[in-house]
Amino acid sequence: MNKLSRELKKELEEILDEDRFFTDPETLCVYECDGLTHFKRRPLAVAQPESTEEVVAIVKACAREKIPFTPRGAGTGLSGGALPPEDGGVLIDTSRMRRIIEINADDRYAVIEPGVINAKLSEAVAPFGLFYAPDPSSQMACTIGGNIAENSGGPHCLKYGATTNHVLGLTVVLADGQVLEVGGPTGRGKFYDLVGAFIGSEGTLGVVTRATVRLTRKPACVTTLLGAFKTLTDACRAVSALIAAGINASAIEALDDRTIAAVEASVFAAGYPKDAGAVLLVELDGHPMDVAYDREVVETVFLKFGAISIDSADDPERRAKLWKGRKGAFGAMGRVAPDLYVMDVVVPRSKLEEAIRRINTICDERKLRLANVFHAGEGNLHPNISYDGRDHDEVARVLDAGKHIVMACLDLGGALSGEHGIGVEKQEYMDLVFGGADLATFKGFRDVWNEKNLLNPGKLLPTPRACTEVKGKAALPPKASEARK
Amino acid sequence: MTMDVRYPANEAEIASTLVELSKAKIGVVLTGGKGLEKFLPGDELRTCISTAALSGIVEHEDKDLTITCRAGTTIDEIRGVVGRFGQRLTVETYDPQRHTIGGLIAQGADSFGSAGFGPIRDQILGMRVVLSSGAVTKTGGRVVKNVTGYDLAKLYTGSRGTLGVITEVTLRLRAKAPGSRTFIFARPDLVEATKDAQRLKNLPCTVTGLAVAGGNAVAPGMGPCLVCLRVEGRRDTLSDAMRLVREVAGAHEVVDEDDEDALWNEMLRFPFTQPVHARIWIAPSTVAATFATFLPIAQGEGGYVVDMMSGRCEITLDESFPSLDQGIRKLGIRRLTEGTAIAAETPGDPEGFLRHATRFGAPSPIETDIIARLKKTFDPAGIMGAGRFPEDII
Repeated sequence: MNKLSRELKKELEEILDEDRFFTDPETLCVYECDGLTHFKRRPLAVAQPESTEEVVAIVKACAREKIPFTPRGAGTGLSGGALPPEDGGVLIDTSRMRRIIEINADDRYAVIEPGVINAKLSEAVAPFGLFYAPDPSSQMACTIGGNIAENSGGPHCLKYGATTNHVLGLTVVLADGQVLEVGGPTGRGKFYDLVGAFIGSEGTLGVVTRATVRLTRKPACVTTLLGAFKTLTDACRAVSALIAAGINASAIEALDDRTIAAVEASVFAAGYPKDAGAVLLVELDGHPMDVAYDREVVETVFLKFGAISIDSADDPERRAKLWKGRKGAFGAMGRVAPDLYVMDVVVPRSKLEEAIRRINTICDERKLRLANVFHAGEGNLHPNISYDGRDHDEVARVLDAGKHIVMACLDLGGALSGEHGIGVEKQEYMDLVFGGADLATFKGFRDVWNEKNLLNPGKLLPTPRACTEVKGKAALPPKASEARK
Repeated sequence: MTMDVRYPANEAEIASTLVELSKAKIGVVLTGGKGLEKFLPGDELRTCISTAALSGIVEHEDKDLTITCRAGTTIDEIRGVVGRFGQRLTVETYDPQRHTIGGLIAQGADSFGSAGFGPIRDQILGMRVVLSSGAVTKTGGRVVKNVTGYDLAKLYTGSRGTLGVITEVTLRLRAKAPGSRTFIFARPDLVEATKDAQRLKNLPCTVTGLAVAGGNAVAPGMGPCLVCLRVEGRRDTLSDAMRLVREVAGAHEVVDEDDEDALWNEMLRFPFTQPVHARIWIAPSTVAATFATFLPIAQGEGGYVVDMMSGRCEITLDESFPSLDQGIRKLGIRRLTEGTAIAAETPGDPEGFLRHATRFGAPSPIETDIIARLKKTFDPAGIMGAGRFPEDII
């Protein structure tokens, strides 16, 4: 286990004020996990820099002492990306780096520090008729730096793309303390696209201290429709029909009956019909005439697949109410059980119905409390399994269900993660998707940036320890085992 | 010049060829066509690998709006397949019958459609690449949303064949536009043209192309400067767009539907027909002021086509020089790019990477170090893009 030497502690205290460097157990406890609460580790120390220079000094000091370090934004990540290093390390909390340095409305970009909260950025640029498009459900709390690490998405990335489509330039402190600046307002780099390759690297390549992000013009007209269906199957079929009809929706979200029940009993109640088997939230935006046309198509599709009710909203307040339930869905699940395993998998859109069927079966067989919320327009599923972490038997069943859900989705041609990342949660599954040559290439790529593996070690790529903990790999369904290659 | 040209038909053949060439330390140059169009000194000792035989659609999942195709597949072929399902690939090129998807990705080629849908890198969902070690690798997948592993597709895009051979890509598709319309406006100078372009950017329509052209890029009698705007939508929307365009920018012409594609294609093609062609990316609001510092352009020599959404500027001179370096020097771009974040390149020139430092200044030492280490990692034998990658970086 690593230890924080007296010299390193003193050095870090000198770099940061005493209210920005912590080694007391009460504070360290707060940082022992991110949104994936199943995994907990205390850091050796927490550092809260406020500038690139301070990050450089922290990184250099840790690197010199061979102490691993992990960057962390708001700690809302759901794959353990901000979990402290296993053998002890320093957490670099960038939440104090929250300045919006520049807003350029003419060229539609902003220069910001990594601790800027996602929703706050959109708020800040709203007076210019702009917004920041990636909108994960945690946007009231998550930071842009964390979004960059995980290539975060959100409901509106169906139309507008994920974080990788909205980051134009980066300032990154590398694992040896050097500062790399790449990209800029136009998003074009010299030689290789280092910005693009960096995004989604889960804090394993560098610590972002500044980012130039793309801003998007607010659409002229926005309409949100809520369709309630008898069954989730009907809703999934409606989704397929909408995609086939070429509707350019900005979001298509689905909630099943258990999620509806939890939401409507909570402070996030949005008026979803309690007798519905599922609801679909479809948002359309753009020119008013295109929106009006598409709205008719959506309503026609809803009715074709047996919608029991259709509601719609054009003004921001009523739209926000319809979205309230969706945005609060994860929080609402807290009513069901003390713990929640929020999964994140992706399947091709055409396989949604089958994926839901398999996921439901897997959880029913294990007598688990499952609720489905998902980005239906992209096939990005979030099976939410409620459980009590004090019940070891239930925990085992949850983890087992998780493995089978992952394998089922891979079997359908899907991917391990749509937006939460790999972190520690799914690194053991990476070799179900990628072969030896692929993983070796990933490792080689990582080693260019992080040769000594001090920067957020033990994440994303399989580790020998993670691999030995996988049980039942020999029982893979045939297609999933072929998915290795 | 004669050169050994190989046409591997599959990944295994590419892999074995690269292993053979690595062992023999023979440099490799890639092409999507039947051999190279432009040779560099030393090419007679190198091997050209063509992906022309590596073509065809692997899988078109029309219900998922994705397509997987081999790198040597032409854009026309892809369009033909997806068009039948009312779908489109938003990648544009001026020679879709000849240009391959692998070639466009390797060049990082962008087009005006990036305005509405993002650049070419944003259309790639997954990729297979053979490295010079013979390793056959993949990155990404076949679903539209995926954060599994490092996004190496971004690294390979624009890498000009210096890291590996792209063999197959999975791409995002969109539904075909219900309709589109292109409006053109003549303006007396670049200042007026860019002012109007910035205003048109904010139209409440789906803008899929916004360009300003001038100099000899504009046919006599049409300019001196032209603003070209393309919007898409349904019939009513397009009619309303006409009204909005008139309110914002005044009188204009509407391009015939039959001529629309030809116009945008010509704006993509024109720069490549000129003896001197450089590309830079600058913030669109700075275009007029920046161009005023390019003396030849300010004095009415040469021409330019600017994508006013992305800031991609194609700047040309119609004068021939003993070397492209001299032509670029005359444009005076280096003082903008050296030591700054402004990116620049010389598209279509095989020495584009090689002479980047001379023409535009080298990247920062730290970036150079990362580039060098990436090159060594992905191509330890140092054979990929032979003669085209700066030796002082490797």
